[in-house]
Amino acid sequence: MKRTFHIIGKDFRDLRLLFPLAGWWSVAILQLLLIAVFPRLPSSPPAIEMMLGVLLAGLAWLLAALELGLLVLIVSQLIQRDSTVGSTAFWLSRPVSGARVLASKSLLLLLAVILPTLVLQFLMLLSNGVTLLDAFRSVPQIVVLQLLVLSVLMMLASLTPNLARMLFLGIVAAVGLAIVQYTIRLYLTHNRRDLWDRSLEDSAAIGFSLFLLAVAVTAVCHQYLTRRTKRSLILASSVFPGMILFMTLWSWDFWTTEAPVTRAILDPEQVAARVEVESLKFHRGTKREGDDWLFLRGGLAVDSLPAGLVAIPAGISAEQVLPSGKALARHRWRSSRFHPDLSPRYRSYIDEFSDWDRVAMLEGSLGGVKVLNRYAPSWQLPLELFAIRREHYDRHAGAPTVYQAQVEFVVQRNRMATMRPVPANSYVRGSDHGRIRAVTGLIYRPSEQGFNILLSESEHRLTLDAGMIVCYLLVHPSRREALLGSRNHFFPATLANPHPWSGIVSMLRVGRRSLEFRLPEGSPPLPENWLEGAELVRVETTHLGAFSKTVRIEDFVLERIPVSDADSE
Amino acid sequence: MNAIIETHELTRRFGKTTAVRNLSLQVPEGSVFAFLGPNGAGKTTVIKMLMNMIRPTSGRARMLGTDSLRLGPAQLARIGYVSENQQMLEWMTVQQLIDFCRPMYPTWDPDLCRQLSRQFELPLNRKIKTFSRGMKVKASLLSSLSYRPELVILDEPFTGLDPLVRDEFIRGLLELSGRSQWTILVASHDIDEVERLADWVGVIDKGERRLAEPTASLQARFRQCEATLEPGREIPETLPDSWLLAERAGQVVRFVDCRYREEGGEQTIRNSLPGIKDLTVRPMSLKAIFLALARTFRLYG
Repeated sequence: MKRTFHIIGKDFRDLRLLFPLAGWWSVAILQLLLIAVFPRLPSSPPAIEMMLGVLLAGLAWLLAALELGLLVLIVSQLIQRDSTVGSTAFWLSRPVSGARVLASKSLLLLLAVILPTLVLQFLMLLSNGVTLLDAFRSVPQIVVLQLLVLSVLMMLASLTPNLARMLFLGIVAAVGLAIVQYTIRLYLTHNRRDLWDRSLEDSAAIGFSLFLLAVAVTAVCHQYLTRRTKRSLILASSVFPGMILFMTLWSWDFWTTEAPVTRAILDPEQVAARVEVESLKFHRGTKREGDDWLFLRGGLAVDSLPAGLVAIPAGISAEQVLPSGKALARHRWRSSRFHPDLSPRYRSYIDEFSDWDRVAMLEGSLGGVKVLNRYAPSWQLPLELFAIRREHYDRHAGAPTVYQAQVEFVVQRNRMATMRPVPANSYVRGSDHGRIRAVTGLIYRPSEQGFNILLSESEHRLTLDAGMIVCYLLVHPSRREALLGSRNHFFPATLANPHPWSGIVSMLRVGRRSLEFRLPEGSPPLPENWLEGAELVRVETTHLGAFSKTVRIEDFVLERIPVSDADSE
Repeated sequence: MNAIIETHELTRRFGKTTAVRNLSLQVPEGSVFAFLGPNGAGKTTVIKMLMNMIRPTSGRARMLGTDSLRLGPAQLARIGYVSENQQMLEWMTVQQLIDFCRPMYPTWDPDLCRQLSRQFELPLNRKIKTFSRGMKVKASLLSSLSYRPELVILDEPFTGLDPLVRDEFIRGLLELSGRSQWTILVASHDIDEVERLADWVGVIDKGERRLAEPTASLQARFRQCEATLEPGREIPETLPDSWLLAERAGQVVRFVDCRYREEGGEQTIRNSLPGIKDLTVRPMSLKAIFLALARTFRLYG
């Protein structure tokens, strides 16, 4: 161990390592400062806010790129100055084993890169209001991510004699992997759809990342212990067949919330689902030109739900059967807005579309307020329970049949955090994974019949955590009115950490969000002092799982159900 | 003979090129072994295989009684290696290099280190990267000799050294080896450099061993011969195998006898070449022997 530290001491004295290391530390601290300062900046006029957001987001990308570049330089300097490639390195003729050199290099990276990263990220999380528990939960993700990056860089550095070759090998490997991935995907989607399951992609990607980490560590150890570069390269290139295997044979989807809801949350046996028969109505419509269809719409009710939970129908598989048991017609419907899988891969999709839908559910939770700018949500429109051709209706209009359907419900829970919408530097705690930091600006826009609120918020979510959907409402409790906020998407002011990988892995996001609370056109204007009595409510919806129930209509006679005059698509 | 280095059928191929072919060699303990051969003969490849820097394609080597493939820190602490190709920690000063190397060697001798640094006139506080080539070799020697290695391997150590430094170095090395009973393997393409040092000589050419024996025995059996034949005498069609580079100029025949014996050597020559009027037999320098051998190998393979 003493000799290991002796080698570390030698490396630490090397200025060609020390300079990039100092640069990397500076960049890491700058990133911490940027994320800490950004949400705390006072509000400015919208144009300046927007410019600031773009500027800071650009700066964050620049710093992230710089950080990665410096990391490449650090690893190259550290590894290739005591190269394992070739036969001219100084250490080869000295009484130092490859294992000891590897141990010293790894230990130095641990002390100089991984530990500072951990400390900085930890500080970053705490300074953005993440709880100590959640900060500790983040440690494995921070370490694994850093290990993955460093081990891949170490592998590239230990298999090449200099920085130029290292970069060349890295680029060739990255391009090669991209080509393999593209080719396999093309092949699978065109020729072997049986092997192609898109829902497994994300789990397979995580599995492949861990495989890559294992290959990189093995290749580095093999290279240091044997210095047989060709064999190490062959070992390293096992990532290519590995990728093919992961893309074709991976079958373990551990990153899904499609799993049934746990009995601790909801026991499906204790819940009753029924069709609200009085709401049933046929709507005329077409599926294709010339078609004449009748769509049966109606309400579904779920009774005995535990408090605080919402069950939303997400899919129906229905059939009309004769008393003899013979099926006359079948129908399947699946909601495009409530996919049973609300894992992170669908999160952005759901984020975009589901606010309006959920508001209707929230009205009750908010004490019976009326959301003034609510549109009819798709799921609350009478559900499409069945669809039959006109001829089928004519043929079986008076026949006594049974309607039975297997309905898939998505279970969600809404948590609410409330604060006064006045600029203040106070924290409002949402769940453990998200909080409003402060309302930084407040703009009343009487001409557009609404308000603009600028707020900064932070969200902490680990990659494998289930998704959470957030929306904001301005609620006036005494007037029993509310306005749903919509995000201004031209306001791109989010900083994420770790920045270069934020699209792939998630952890901390801080942002300045511009929310617009507008009344629908033609609505009577709100009084100017409306905002004084209002509260800003952040609603966090988490997905808890799914369950299915069978619903039946025993006396299902088509001609008894009213037919609406209004056409339906 | 107690061999400190042994190779057996050592072979190394780089693609289709065979750099070293079936080399069997023994370096006796306590000897100064001159490992000679023209540029590209395979000397450095052999040394790198001995040092476990590259793996042999076939065959094996033993250093200090250990298989070269198993050479570890314990053995390397007893070996001093200096090569023209070896990378130095050039960003260090000489003092930093000493400080870095010292803890690795239990046998590090600070007095010897001081003595060597004085002898080599090395400025301790200057960075090695600012040194001339000769100075760098000296720094390398300093870091490789200060722990009194049992075996010193020098791969073309004189390249780039000016004659004065080379002379100093050779004298220093002779002095040290005499004092410490080191075994020294010096690889060189230039016989002049090692003539004064070596008590054993090994010659390699095109990756194959040509000879390996004590300098004294080599010099005893090699003779430069010049025979003047009586008028009208013809040279026989076949000459003894031991006569190298035989050539005739008029009645004079010159050759190198590589199996000359002090006792009856001249008579053997006269028997092989009848009608000799006058015979001159001269001892040869190591350089002359090396050149004769090199020319023979080039001419006859």
